[in-house]
Amino acid sequence: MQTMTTDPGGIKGPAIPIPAHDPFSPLLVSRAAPVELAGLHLDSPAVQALREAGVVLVVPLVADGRLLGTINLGPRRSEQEYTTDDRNLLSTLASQLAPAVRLAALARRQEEQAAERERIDQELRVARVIQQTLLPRNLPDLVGWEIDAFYRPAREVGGDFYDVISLEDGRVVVVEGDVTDKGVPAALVMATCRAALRAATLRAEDPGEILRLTNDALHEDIPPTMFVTCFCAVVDGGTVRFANAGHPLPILVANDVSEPVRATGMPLGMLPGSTYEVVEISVPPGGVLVIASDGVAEAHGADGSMYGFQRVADVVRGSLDPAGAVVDDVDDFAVGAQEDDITIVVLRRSNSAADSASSFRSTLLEFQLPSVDGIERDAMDRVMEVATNVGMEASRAKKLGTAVAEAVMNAAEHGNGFDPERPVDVVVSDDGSVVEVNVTDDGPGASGSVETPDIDAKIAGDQGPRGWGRFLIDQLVDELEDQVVDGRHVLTMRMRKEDT
Amino acid sequence: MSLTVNTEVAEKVLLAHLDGDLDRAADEPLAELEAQFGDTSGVVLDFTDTGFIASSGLALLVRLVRSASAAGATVAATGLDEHYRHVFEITRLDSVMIVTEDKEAAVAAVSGGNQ
Repeated sequence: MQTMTTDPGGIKGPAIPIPAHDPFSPLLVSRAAPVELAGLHLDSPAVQALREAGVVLVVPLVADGRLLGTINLGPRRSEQEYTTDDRNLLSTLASQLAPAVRLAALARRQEEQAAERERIDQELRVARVIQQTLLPRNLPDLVGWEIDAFYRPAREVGGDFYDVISLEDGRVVVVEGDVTDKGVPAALVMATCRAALRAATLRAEDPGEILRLTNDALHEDIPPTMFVTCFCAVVDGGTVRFANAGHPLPILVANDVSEPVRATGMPLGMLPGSTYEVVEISVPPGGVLVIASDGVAEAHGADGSMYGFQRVADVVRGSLDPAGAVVDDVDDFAVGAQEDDITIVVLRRSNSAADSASSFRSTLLEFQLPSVDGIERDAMDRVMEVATNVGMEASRAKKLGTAVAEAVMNAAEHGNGFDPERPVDVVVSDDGSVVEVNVTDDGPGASGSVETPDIDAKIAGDQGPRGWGRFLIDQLVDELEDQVVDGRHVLTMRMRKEDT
Repeated sequence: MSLTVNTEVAEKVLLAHLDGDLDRAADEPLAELEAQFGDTSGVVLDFTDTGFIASSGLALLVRLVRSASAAGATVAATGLDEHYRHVFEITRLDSVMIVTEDKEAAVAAVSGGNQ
């Protein structure tokens, strides 16, 4: 509540507050007209203070039954009493001023709320940047294994992280963790924890020892209300030695059986001197170890039930792309916005060196285009962008993009007869070294008698000027394949990321 | 982006600046360009601001070279980036038009041939 003290009779000093619990406040609200203090018998500290300040007349500013402020007047300079005309004038003034003051207060509150929202958004952006900066950009190669990771933050960024660290002797340390709390505090603890883990791998080779050192370092540094669950594995040959500081149990899928594997230990940062059980498992060729953060198992379905680890185990069994399969299934199951970060790290023991390239293909982009003229440019740009984003050399990405443009045009024209109702489907996937693009239409596919374009014959008029598309695709990509899948024609183009 | 063709003529050489995408929709602007071949000894196609060349665009270039040839004019290309130089190589379009590094070389290559 605001007060204004005028200065006709030489009144000086600060504004005098009239608290809501002071009896003068309800009186001013009920009168809603100038009140002379001289005739007032009220046990009010506010009236006392006003009198001491030399105020003789108080004009309340009331809107919507609330006292917004007062205009306080001292004695008239003429030393005469305030007349009825004076009071009427002051009443009119107050009645016009009150809504304006009310409006100004509302506007100020809205500005404050907008600023607060902006501050929260900014904080989320900061947390996301910290988190994403610290996640590994590339996963190191480990002979005989494929390592895959999926990470998707919730809107209110949680504290998930993962890390894959190559040791000098060729072994690899794989870590997945989750900091309690969200936003910037979680991101900062995550950064501290990641640094402590990396430092520990320089001093210890054993996963239990790595977690013990990290716990001791972290316990000193993080707030007592926060802790970090963390899984840590050292992968060597066909064995995985791991320790677990309270992180969800990883699932081992081998020989068509999936089961959680357990090792006990307290979350990091909770108690000093914690020790961690180390468990060694042997993963047979083709076997998979899946480490999924609690954002997966705790995703809520339409009936309020949780996704659960059993379902993770069921979905990953027999899947060639366990992370993708789990994420797709969680997305089908869960309702509403993603509640927590989702992180899935997958370690797969290769069957043999030969199958390592194709078994870990993950989808980068899927889209559908109507069969009309001019769609090729859009398809080209989108494919070039994702191919470049997964590390394809610019010149190769451009070749792939041009080939896709031709393939999409052929699909729309020859496959679907430029029927806008029949879509052209494009799927782009990546296995780490090769980007594959599938373009699907409703046609029978390339006929056997495709004429090889010959520029001299074309210039001479012996061949039509067109017919370059298929030839160009063949020349621009590394591999080209035609298939019929479920009655639809699929053209598959494969392009290595780097020229070898 | 649809194709815009800006032309200038200097000493019987028609210089055509191709701004935009060279795809099916470029049919008309290129046909208009071909209609100007009447009294030229050479045609220079400047691809500096050409964004995307589709195979349908390559077919239009074949038609353009045929029109030029009928008019007794030679065609040169300039401003192609590395990618489209490669495309011109594999389609052998570079054997029916002179591909040059810069505009001056292109103009020189098609000047004074058929006076």
